[in-house]
Amino acid sequence: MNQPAMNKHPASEDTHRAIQELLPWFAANSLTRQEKNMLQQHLASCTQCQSELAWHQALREHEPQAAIMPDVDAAFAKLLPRLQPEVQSARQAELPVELQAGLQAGSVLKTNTAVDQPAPGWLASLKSRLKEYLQQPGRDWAMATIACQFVLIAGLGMGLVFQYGEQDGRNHEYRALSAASGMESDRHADGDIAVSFKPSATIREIQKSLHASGARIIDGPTIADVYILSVPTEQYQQALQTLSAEAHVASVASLKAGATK
Amino acid sequence: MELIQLISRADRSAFEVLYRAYFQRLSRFLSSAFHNSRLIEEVINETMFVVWQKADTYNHASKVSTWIFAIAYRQALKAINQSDEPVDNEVGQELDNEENEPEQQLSRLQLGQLIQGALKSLPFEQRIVVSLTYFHDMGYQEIAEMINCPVNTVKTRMFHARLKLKNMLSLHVGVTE
Repeated sequence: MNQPAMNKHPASEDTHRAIQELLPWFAANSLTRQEKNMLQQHLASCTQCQSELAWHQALREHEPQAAIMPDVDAAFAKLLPRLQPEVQSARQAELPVELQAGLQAGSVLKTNTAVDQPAPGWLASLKSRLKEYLQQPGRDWAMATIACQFVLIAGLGMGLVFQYGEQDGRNHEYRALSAASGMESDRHADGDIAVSFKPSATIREIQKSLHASGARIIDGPTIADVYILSVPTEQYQQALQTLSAEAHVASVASLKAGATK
Repeated sequence: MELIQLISRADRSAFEVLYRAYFQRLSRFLSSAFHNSRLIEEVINETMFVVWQKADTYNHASKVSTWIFAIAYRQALKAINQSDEPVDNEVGQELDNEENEPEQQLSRLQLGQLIQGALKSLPFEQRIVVSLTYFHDMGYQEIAEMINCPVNTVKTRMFHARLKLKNMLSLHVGVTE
């Protein structure tokens, strides 16, 4: 569909070239208001640029689809163990000095038993240090109680991880509750929103947030306590705003961002 | 509190929320460079691991998305340099297919495949600019910031990419000069 030369805009070649260079971003609606106005004025009388714009728009509508995309659950499961040391050190920093010293014996609370292997005797070491700590005279029993609770929680956490691992014979790898068996999942229901709640949030508060936003949980909690929510399309923006404003929501993000134009 | 702030405090839940929010976008972006889902996954994880480690250095000079995509771009370049896998840079076979006559009505899928083949034939740097412009709605300044080059370089890459694409797709995408 060649355009006759007479339809070309009378603007100088330089201006015409400058306008043409900006057309891809005009088609994508990512120009400033001033640039948009300039292009709109030019386009009103330049059929060549109109044609060019239509071409850019046609291409934008045909984003190539990758044949195989990685699965988010499996991918995150692989990354999660690498996050542990930082999390651990950050959490240790919040503990009483006495407990921090006890925890130095080994990197505890691993969700992945294959990466950064804890020393085989780490649990025994922790117990022994805790025992020594408790036996020291003059210690605050409140602190001792906290220490016992910590060990109990650690034990339960490890038990949970081993249980997950044994279920599918892959005890070397963390898997989210929703994780698919392979990298290319064919069952994963894409959610609209990912959200985590503050540890202090009660079930009633979480339910209230869900009702207020019109969202429902379709996946989770993962080990990092994230829930995947689904919301009706017409309530999507409102749901995001509602959840963001809720005091007991720790973090929230759209899973659609950039997914559609 | 912003997600990045929470992540800088080693909040794993916040990190997972961000990870999930960007996973699909980064997958789509990286699929313009790699065809191997394992490699795409590795680059995403390397990218997000940098985000986890460097969240406290994010200074709001750019949007969070630009910052993350810039990390992904650098990780992609690193993966390309380290990988034996060839980066697509050949004319797609689809374009040479004799069955693709101009007058033939192409299905949306076929046209998508043709465009994919044409995009593959572009040099990597041009392909990245096209992908970010068309499919990630990024402005030219944002792209320049992301790939650390002058704005005019971005415009020029897009301009040359458009000329090549037009040559290859003129028979199939029905709007030409």
